[in-house]
Amino acid sequence: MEREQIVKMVKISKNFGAVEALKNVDMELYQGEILGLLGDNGAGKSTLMNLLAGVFPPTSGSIFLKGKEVRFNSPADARKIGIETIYQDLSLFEDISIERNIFAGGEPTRPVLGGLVRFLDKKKMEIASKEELKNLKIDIDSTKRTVRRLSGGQRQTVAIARALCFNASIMIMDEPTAALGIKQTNMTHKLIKSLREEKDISIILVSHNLDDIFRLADRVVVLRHGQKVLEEKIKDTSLEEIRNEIIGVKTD
Amino acid sequence: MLKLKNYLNWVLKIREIVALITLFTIIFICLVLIGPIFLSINNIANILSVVSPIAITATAMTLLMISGEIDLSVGSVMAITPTITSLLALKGYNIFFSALIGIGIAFFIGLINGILVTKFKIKSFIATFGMMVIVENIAHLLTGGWYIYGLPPSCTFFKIFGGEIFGHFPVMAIWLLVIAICLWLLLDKTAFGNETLATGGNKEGAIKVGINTDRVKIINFMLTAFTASFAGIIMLSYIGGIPSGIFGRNLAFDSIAAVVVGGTSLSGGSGTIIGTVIGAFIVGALRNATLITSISSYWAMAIVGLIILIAVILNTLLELRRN
Repeated sequence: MEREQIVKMVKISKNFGAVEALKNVDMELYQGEILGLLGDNGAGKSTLMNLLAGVFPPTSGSIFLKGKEVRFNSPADARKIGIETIYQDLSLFEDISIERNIFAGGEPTRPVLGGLVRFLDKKKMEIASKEELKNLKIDIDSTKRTVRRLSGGQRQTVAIARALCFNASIMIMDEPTAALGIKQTNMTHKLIKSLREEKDISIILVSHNLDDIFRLADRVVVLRHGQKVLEEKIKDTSLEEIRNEIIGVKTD
Repeated sequence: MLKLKNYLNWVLKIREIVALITLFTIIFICLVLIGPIFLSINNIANILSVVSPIAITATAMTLLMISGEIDLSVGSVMAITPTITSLLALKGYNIFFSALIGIGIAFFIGLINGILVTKFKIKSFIATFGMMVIVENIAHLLTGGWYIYGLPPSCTFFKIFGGEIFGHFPVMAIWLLVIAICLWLLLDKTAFGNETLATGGNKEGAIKVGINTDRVKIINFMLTAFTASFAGIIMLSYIGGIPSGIFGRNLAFDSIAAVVVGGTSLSGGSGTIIGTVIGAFIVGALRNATLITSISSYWAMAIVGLIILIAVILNTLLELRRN
């Protein structure tokens, strides 16, 4: 089964002042795969993730999407072409409704007064968010409730529903199970698998949790001190090898 | 009964209900202490003339505070716009044109405030305080500390913005209604309104979902300056001149008090226009009550300060309970 290459990052470097967060990193993402991105704190995982999410541009190097070079001036640009990022803090807004949360930054609008002004298309927001939440099998009686009262697992689902409402073809998930208990972690795993199986979404999974990685990922990339030190299919590597590469233990 | 409760829950969240109850309590107390004259037609008109400039400014201030910032310079903007307007008019320029220049200056001040806060990363409390000092002194220099008079008292311009209909009913209350409705629509029904709520609720999160939070804040600063300048034009038209040294002195305090008492969260991220308007009536009613009695207006300030404290404590308790 030959998968199409969706994302290609070539010789990516990123400096923050004197700090070299990423040095000449190459990375590819294939259609419908789950790619694990691993590394200790400060290894460069967040930086790489943020580059793809459009938060800042690389200092050097290029990013290609389906063969065409792309440049992001803002996270909005990345979202426009189907890259949705779910950060560890979920980027949710406590005191506004679930549907406003889902569509924040990309609110659907309808023309009013002959196009003079545009209002929120609240009908669309309600229908779409209810639909995606139902597909994700979460039981929320009204999308007009605020996010504040939702549990960790429910919030996670709202964040994923956001990505789906924007027709994500690529999802970057940053530590999706970090704040979850065992049962909710299990459900999140099922959810991530179904995203790939049912919607053919390509997923980059950034995680410290090697359990997540071994259960979900097809391939892994390990970063250390801003450089790529390992890239393997999960079945061709081991827990030991990955851990060693993360820490930097030399094995002979 | 349950349906009515749900409808009420939807229309008025608990903070706005508290504000409304506070308003009715204050009106009741004033009626008892002052007598039925407090709600006479004449006095209601007086109350409206005090409330309108506060409420007009406070509605835009609501959006600004929801987005996480504050503007202390509104009083000085309220002073400088009519100052420039009347000086130009006295020199012979058409008064509508003069007003446009005056309001244009306010937009510019709002823009500078926004840039200082977003691009230069100065805290809004500090930046707008500095702006207030600069602008109010320039306004003082321009008038030379004197009363501005000599403008034709019954010109159309003054009638449109500061006139009275049906006897003493101030037209400015209609302007308040128009502006409150427009800003309510902006906050509740547009994408910009949602961006404002998101920016104040979680600025980093808002940036990550693609919202230009700098743009949101700058626009809100400009809107706040505009409403303050509009309030200045209204007072100029109502009074027919500029009483020296008084214009806008209390506006920052009153409008911010109105916003806070009306239920907008101090940390941003939530708030309503209707709550702010109720808050403005609370502040205005208190100011009026001290004006028509021999009670010093310092009492009004003290009471408003106390109400703000109570409102903040209540809000904080509510937030703590929610978490």
